[in-house]
Amino acid sequence: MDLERISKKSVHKVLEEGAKEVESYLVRVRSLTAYIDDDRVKNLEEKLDQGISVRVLLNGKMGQSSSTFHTTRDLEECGAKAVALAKLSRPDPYFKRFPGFSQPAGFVDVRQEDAASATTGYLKEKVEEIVRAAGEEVKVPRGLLRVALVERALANSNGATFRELGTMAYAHFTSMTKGPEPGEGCDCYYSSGLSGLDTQAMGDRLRQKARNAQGAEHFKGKMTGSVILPPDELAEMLLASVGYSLDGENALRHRSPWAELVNKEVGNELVNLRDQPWDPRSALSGRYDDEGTPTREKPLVERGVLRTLLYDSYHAQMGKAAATGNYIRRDPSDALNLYRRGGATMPVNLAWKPGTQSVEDMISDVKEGVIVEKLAAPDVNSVTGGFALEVRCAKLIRDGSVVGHVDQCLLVGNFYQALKRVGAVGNDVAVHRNCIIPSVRFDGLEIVGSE
Amino acid sequence: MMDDLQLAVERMRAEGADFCDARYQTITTNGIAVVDASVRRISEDRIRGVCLRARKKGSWGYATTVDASKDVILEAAVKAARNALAGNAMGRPIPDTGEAKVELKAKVKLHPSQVPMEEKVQAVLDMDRAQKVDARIVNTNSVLREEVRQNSLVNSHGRQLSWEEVRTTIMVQAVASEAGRTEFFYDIKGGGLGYEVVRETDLEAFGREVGKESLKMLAAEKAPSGLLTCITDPAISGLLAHEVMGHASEADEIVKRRSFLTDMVGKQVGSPLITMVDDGTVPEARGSVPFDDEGTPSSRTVIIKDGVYQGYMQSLETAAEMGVKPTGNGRAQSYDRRVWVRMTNTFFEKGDQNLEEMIADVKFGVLTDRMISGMEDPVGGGFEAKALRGYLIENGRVTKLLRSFTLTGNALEILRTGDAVGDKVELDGGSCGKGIEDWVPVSSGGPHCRFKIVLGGD
Repeated sequence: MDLERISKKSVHKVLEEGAKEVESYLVRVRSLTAYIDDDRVKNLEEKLDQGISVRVLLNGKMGQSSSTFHTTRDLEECGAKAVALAKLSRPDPYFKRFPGFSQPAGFVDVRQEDAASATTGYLKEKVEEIVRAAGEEVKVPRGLLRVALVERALANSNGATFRELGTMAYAHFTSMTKGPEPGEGCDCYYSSGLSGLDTQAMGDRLRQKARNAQGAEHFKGKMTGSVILPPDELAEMLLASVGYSLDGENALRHRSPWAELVNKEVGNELVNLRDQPWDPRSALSGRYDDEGTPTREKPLVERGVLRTLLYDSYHAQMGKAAATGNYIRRDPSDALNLYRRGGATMPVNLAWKPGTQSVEDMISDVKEGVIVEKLAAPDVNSVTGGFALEVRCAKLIRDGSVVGHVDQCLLVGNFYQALKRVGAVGNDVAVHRNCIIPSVRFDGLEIVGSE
Repeated sequence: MMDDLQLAVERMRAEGADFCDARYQTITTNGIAVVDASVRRISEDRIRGVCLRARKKGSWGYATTVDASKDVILEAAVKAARNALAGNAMGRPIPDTGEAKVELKAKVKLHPSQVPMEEKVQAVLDMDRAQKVDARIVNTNSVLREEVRQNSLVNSHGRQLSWEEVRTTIMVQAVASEAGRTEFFYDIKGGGLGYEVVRETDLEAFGREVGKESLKMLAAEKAPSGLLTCITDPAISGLLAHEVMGHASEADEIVKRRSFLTDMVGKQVGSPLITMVDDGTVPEARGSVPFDDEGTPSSRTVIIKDGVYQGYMQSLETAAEMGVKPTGNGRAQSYDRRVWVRMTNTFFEKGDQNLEEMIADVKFGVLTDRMISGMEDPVGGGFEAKALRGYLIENGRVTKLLRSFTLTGNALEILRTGDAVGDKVELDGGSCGKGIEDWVPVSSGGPHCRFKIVLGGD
């Protein structure tokens, strides 16, 4: 079935039901996953998914329905349900229309062939390579490697239409040392394809991280110093804080600390953030967001100054701004049920301009601090920026050298304040989720030991 | 459909599966979201599909499809069996689960399908408007979410089961702002319930109280840091039960010796005041199910009894590996996700002290109030939980409101310090992921408990 043709047909059918504005979003996915359990290939999976999401506007009232589909009847029922729900809603004060295109979009193919053509047998080989690379010293209790071919199509009643074919690749492995009081390591891979997956390097990192965690000593006392956050931990903290504050909805709803700060300072000169929606390294890259607005490269924060907020079509109309192409329903680790998800407004790919220093250079400049290897949950209070995070493993730095590993302590601070105390930006850019960022050193954060 | 599932099971067996099952599932979710007194979203979401699962030795093969036609199901059955045959994990055979033929409807007082949508929309608007108690409330959010799951399962041991699950949740969250400071507060009600949860709630009071509490948050102070006497409220008690002791008691972690609780049965792991269970049969609780996603009836599993560790939650596979009975904890997010050992309703049992007595004994400490999040650590046994807020206790009295803070430490060390357990259990519903995916509906909770815990205020 041609998704683009189905999406147009769905729009036409729903207009016949009385809707004034209609958007039909369809996704078809083939997702393959190989799971490791205790060094062995435990599960091999092939999952086929397709679904539709219909949003309508009828007499100023919005309704929304989504469903898996495999027959025309499923599509019709989904559209009719969205219309029926709109009739029961209340007039929306802001939303008047879905985006329109100045030119027809047509078909875009951004897939990576290695991911698109992978088989479960190929994934099995790759996960076994990772386990072998981790070596005998550790075991791999859990791991997964996933690829998906994602076809999405959108049509709306304003003539917007596109079909895009993309891919995602994702790996998540844990390791642990053998014997009593084991240490645990964890490593991830996010991309649009498999070409960047270095199975030997991943195995090496899993072994080293588990060893580091096992050798960690409980941190004692308190310290205020420099903290180097690696790309994976930093990405999660950035998405929870900066990602939240860039969302125009949160500004319009008065719950974003950056609501009134466009063209004002939100960080120091080392904070340079861009949205890079076409970067081939990321699984979310594409020419259109998930409501059909063209994506575009744009500065978000330049030398610490906030340049723009991000808007989907709804909040663009609420804020009398233009939609920025940042309405995202997809996830870089999971391609199933994308039509079910309400979208979120976020950078398609949040990129931090790298510096020139290696991590070793950054360490050598630190008088007292840590370089984090694993946080329990790298979360930040989005509204306030506050965080107090359990450090599961970190390298302790004194006078420019790593002097050991520590755990059982809290990393405490405020992320919005920390952006004003960035001390160095590394050159070790990595992709984690939809962030393309290097390690970053923050000065003046607090480490509190449990003893 | 049951006939097609039966054929799929036979096909997987013919392809060489030692054990297999076929599930057909429809999940219908209705949601109404109101923001700042305007209906922001009114939606219905339905997913429907078939999962074919085959096992050969210790490896599983899965294939899923949204096309429920017989030919496609049978094709997927072949894929599932061949995927299982391609694995290389070893394992013991699944013992006979026994034949059964059962059809069950959800036991709710008022099924969501019996209530007009107009009434539901008005209810959410009412609880949203009630939050606006002051000009400093800058944002209000209210949600009604209803989920109905229809499950059908056939396995190669002759089980043919159909059952329904219904869950309803209402949530309100107010954001208050003053002089550059912004804080929020929330409340949630729900569980394995129908629309009665809405009809039986004073929606105006539900919204109003959240508005008032968010205003109080504007004056909350930073929590003290360090090792303190901490009275955990039912939500944070539940995080300790669920995230650390619960995840580490999932038997798949034991089989591969990844859990810090491996080989701990019979050992003292906490204060004699501590008893903890996982119970999928608790009436009206969010994590309750008549059967797990392998067709095993749910049950009550005692994990800690009077401080002594008792045992684990089991799926069919882990029970086979450990030579025990399955406990009804083989669960999946939906038909297109894998089955793992998962919790249902996990909580500490009640003690005999009331909260006032517990506070009166504290010279300097903290009382937590609601959770933001928690994190599992089955390998190390580390506990991390974020409290939305709390109260400072000085000389036996609550003195100050505290803003969000983190609790951390080694779970076993924390449990050994337990010296008081409250006399009332409350359960807090949510969704639990394993690793970073596979979300299943659960609840966790307990009474107020008094421990020594490391705090870090942000």
